[in-house]
Amino acid sequence: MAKKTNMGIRKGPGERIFEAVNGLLLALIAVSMLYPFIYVLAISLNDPNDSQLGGIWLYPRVLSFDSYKIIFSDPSLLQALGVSVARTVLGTILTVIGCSMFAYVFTRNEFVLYKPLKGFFFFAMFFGGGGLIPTYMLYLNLGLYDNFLVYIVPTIINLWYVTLFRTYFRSVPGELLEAARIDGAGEFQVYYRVLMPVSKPIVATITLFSAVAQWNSYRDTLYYTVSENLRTLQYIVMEIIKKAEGSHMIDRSEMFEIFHGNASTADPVSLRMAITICTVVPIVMVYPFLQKHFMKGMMIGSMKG
Amino acid sequence: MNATRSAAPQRSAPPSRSQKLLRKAWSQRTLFAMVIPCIVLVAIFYYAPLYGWLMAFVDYKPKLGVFGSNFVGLKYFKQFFSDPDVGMILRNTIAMSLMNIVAHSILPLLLALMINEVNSKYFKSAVQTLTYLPHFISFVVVSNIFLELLGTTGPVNEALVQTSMVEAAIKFWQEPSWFWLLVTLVRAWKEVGWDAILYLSALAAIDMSQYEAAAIDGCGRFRRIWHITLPGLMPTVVTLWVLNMSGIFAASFDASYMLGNAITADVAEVIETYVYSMGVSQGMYSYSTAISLLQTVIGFILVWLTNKLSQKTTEYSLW
Repeated sequence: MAKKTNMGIRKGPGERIFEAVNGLLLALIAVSMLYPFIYVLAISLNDPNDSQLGGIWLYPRVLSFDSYKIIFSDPSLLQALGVSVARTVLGTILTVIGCSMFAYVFTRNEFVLYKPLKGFFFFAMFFGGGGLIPTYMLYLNLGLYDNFLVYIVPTIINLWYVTLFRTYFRSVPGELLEAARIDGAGEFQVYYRVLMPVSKPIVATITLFSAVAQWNSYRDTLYYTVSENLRTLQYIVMEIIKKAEGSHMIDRSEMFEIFHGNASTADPVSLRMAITICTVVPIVMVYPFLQKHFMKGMMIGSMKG
Repeated sequence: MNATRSAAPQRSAPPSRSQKLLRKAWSQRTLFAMVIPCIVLVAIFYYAPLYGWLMAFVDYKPKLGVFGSNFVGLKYFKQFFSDPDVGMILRNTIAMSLMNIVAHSILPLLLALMINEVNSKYFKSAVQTLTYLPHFISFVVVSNIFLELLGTTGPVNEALVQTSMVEAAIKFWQEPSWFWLLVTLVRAWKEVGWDAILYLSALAAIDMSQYEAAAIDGCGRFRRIWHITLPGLMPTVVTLWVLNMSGIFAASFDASYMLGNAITADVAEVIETYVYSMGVSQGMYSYSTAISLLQTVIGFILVWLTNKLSQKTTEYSLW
C-alpha cells in the first residue's frame, strides 16, 4: 500500500514546498483529531471545583481523581457499566459465531438450499428491516421489549458482517478445505478447525466492529427499554447531556454561583468529562490490538465484493 | 456428494430427481443445522418488520392487531403533509443531509489524496490511525466533547475572548444559524478518516507505471493527480455518491437529538426525531409508521435515480 508514487522522479523546489505544506496540513488534521480527547482528559483529572474557573487547555491545573471517585462510588453508574460490559461481551461472541457460520454455509455452492438462500439473503439485505415503529411492535410481541435480550438477539445476524465474512472465506484457498474434507472432517469441523483459524484478520475485524457497535449503542436503550437496570453507560452519558442542556442556557457566571455556594458539589463538567473518558478508554485500549488485523480484513472484504 | 454408492440395493429403477435431492439434503444435514438458526433470525428480524409497514394504512390499535384495525388508506400520509411543521422538518432534513453528503464526498477524498502524497511510512500510518479513531467513538461521546469544546466556557471561546477576537463568548450551540454547519463539521470530524480508507484502497489499486510514464513525459504532481489519480478513483466516488443519496431523507437522528436543544429545535428537528417523538413518546404508531415508510420509499427511488443518472453521464453504475 505504501508504494511511493514518485519513484525515480527528480524533486524540484516546488515539489519540496508542496511536500512540506502537505505534511504540515496533515499534522494539523491529526492534532485536531487528538486534541479534543486531551482536553477532556485534562478536565476530568482536574479538581472538580477548580475546573469552574476555566483556563485548562492541555493538562490539569490541580490534579485530582475526585471525579473518578464519585463515578465509581455511584451504584447506578456501576450497574450501567455492568450492562454495557455484559452486552458487549455476549453480543460480540454470538455475532461473530452466527455471522461466520452463516457465511460459511453461504460459500458452499453445492448446498441444496444455496440458490434460494441467495435470494433470501439479498432481498433481506436490500429491503429487510422496518422503520422504528414496526420494529418496536415486533419486539413488544416477541417479549424482547424491556428485556436484556433486546441488546443481543436482534444483533446476532448482521447481513453486512455476513457479506464481509463470505468475501473473505472465498479468498481462502479451496484446496485447504478440500484436503480436510478428504481426511474425513465434517462440515462443522472444516468451518471450526480449518477455516476460522486461517481467517484471523476478518474475525478480528468483525469482533472490533461488533464490540464497538455494542459498546457505543444508546438508541436501543432509548427505544426499547424503560427499566432503570437496563441502562447502559452510553445511555447515562446521553441522559447527562440532556439534563445539562437546561443548564447550558444559564450563563457561566450564574452557574458558578449556583455551585460555589456548596463546595462539596462537584462541577458537573469535570464529572461529565470523567464519564466520557470511562466510555472512551475501553475502545482506545482494544483499538491497537485489533487495528493491525482489521485493515487487512477490511481491504479484502470490501475490494473483492 | 456422490450418493449413488449408498443407494438402497432393493431398488432397481434409477432414483428419481426428488429422491436424489432428498439424499443430497440428508448428506448435508450439518449444513442445515448450521444455517437454520441463522435463517430463523433473518426471517424474524429482517422479514417480520416488513409486515409492520401495513400499520401505515390502518388505524392501528395494539389490541386489535394489523388486520383487526380499521383500514384508513392514505389518511396518515395526508395528515403528515397537512402538518404545519412538515415544511420545517423537510427543510432541515434535506439541508443537513445535503451538507453532509457534500462534506462526505469531498473531505475524505482530499484527505486520501493528501495522505497518498506522503513519503514517510511512519507519518502516513500515524495520520491514518489518528484520523479514524473518532469513527469508533460513539456519537454520544462526540457530542458531549463538542458541546463542551464549543460551549460558552470551552477552550474555543476562551481563546477567542482572550485574543479579543470577540467581545463576549459565542453561544455556538444556542445559535440556530450555526447549527447546520456545526452538525456537518462534527459529523465530518468523526467520519473523514474512516471514509478516506475506501479511497486509499482504491488509490493503492492504481497502476504505478502510469505515474512513471506521466513523469517521464514531464507531468507535474498536480497534473498527475488530475489525469491519473482522479479518473482512477471515479468508480469509488460514484459508488459512494449513489449510496449516500439514499440517506438524503435520513438525516442523522444522533446529531439532531444529541446536539439540538430547545432553542435550536426549529432547525434541528428532522424526520427521524419527529418519527421518534410521534411514535415512541406519543404513541401515534400508524402516523409515524407512515412517515418512516415514505422516507424509506423515497430513499430507494433516489438511489435508483442517482444510479441511472451516473449510468448516463459517466459509465459507472452500481448495478
